[in-house]
Amino acid sequence: MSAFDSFTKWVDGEKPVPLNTAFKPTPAKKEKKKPAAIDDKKRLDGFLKLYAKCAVVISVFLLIVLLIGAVALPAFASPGNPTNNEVVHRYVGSAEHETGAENVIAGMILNYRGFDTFGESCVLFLAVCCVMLLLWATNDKLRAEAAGSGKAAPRDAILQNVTKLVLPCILCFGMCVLFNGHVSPGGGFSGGSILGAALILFAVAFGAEAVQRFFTERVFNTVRITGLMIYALMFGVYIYQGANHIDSNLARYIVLVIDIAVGLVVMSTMYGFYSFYTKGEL
Amino acid sequence: MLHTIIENRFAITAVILFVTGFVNMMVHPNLIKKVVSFNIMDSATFLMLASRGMIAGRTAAILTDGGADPSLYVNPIPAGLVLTGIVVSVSVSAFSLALIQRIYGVYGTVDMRELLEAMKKKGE
Repeated sequence: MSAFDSFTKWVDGEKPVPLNTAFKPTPAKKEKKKPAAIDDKKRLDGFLKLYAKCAVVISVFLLIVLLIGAVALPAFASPGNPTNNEVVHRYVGSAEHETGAENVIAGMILNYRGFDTFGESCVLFLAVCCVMLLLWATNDKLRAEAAGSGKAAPRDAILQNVTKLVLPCILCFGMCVLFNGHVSPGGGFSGGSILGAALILFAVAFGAEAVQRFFTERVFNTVRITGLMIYALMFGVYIYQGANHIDSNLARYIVLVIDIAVGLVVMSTMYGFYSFYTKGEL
Repeated sequence: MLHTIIENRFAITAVILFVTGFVNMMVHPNLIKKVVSFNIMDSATFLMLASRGMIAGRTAAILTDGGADPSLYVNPIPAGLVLTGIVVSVSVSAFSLALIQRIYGVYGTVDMRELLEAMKKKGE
């Protein structure tokens, strides 16, 4: 009986599976007397050499293809580029009265592309969750080790005094960037990173215990979850109020609130990364 | 030819950076250096995107006193896309560095070849 016939019979359910594919142990070859470990090592070395050569060949190929593509691109900085199409005209032309934001980019990423930015905030949220999951010092021994490595550095008088001087300025600048994101360069992401940097500087200068007085794990979780929820809520309000046809003053407040929410998420994420990398907990 | 190269200098720089990162990522056995190369590739992509949005003689897309005339401002869309890209790049770097820190904690090395041997030893 041919293989095809048996297969069709098996499909029809007349016959059990023809088990001629079962693994048959091949007769053992005459084993060479070489130890297996050395053989393995040789094979690995050979593979790595081949791998390096292949990597270079693939990269050169990629370079050539991409260079041909780059040279064939339309001229740099010319207004007639296909990228400068009607979407740009629409965004720049109607961003101010549709989103209430003079900063077209802020209006664009928070209103027209609001779902995308929400996804971005979720990516940050998930990233800090993953870092937490991986680096959380699970037992007391690990925690003591991590704390020892963090606390070993002596507190520096110069650093502390400079921090006292500079920190208020950084905080003010961060707030300014955050709250004026819709009318000037800046916004939630940049403002949030500046505030996070201020927190990190404070933690470096005065020790993590100083930050822990007001930024505990509970506050950290509350801040980042509240940020995301405010974002979702305000974006829902924006959509249900008529999206692009919303009153421009209301839209301006919505942009501001969403910006602040994003800033909170980014700030807590930045400090969370620092804290988990240095001592394995908040 | 030279004219096209000068005209597309940002795209060509981006390509060179991208390939540099790509080669490093494939050839270097050190995991940290792989993450660094990954970030170089990211930067190349951002450079490419941002340079596509540039239009000569125009200002950033912040409507101050010029009014909403699209012929006065550069293309705002690549800026928004780069912002998204930066956030994702930061998140991925943080995640991979956390993974590498855990790997170092378990095996005591971040070199791919040593890691292979350490894993074998641990398996036995």
